[in-house]
Amino acid sequence: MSAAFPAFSNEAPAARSGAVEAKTERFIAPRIDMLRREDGLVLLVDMPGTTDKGIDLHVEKNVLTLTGRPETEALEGFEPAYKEYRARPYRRVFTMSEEVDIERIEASLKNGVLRLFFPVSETTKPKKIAVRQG
Amino acid sequence: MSWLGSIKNRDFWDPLEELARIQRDMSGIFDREAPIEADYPRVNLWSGANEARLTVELPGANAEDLDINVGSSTVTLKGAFPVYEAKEGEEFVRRERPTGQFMRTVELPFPVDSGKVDASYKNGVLHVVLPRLEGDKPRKIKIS
Repeated sequence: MSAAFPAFSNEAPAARSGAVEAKTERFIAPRIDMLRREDGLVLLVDMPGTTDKGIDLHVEKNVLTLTGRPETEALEGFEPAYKEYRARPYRRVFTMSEEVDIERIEASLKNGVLRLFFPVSETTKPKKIAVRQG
Repeated sequence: MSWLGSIKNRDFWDPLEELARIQRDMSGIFDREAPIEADYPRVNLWSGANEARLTVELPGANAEDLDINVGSSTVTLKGAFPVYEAKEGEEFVRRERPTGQFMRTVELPFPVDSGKVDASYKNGVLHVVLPRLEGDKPRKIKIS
């Protein structure tokens, strides 16, 4: 049964360390939750500070690159007193298995959490095969 | 040819390159973000002449469930990370987003007027504006 589900591999090896370097721009690997359903995969991505305008989903062959640019507020006359995070862009790269129907990927954003749905194409859904008695 | 030179030429070990590499590694440590496994929300605090501004990363939070307590010069945040309840037929295969409750106290650069504190929640970030206590503001004294 498990073979029928899209196998995802996360191509961000630096995800655990918190930052991914790509050329000169630095990215943060956002934290994700992944859920398996009969009809596909649900991905929840934490991208605080990002609006729908700042999100870019790029699919090339079976590689999905997710980039989110959080909105930065310029605070005139303020000095940082305590800084734990920087408004760096988020990026995470996923390799999708062939069963994912790229044309029907759904994306929605609410309160800084991006929800992605990767449907499995009809032909690769698990099918129950009846065994006939001989 | 010296011993060192011969090694360098053979491309085995260059002590200068090694030092440069160590330096690159070290500077990388301090340039990194807070660890992503942090089990508390990350905050930034900005200090201005008349107010302080606190921003807290809380993606997916329910604003009503957040408890903000302002003391004379501290802010305490209490709440729970949003939990995604798996629906019927859904099964977690990966879980990185934080769960559970958190409480954080942040010290402010000056006493604030707790009655005038304003908080808003936008795009998964909590913004708290903390006006400086009137009596604490620096005053210019004119010399007559």
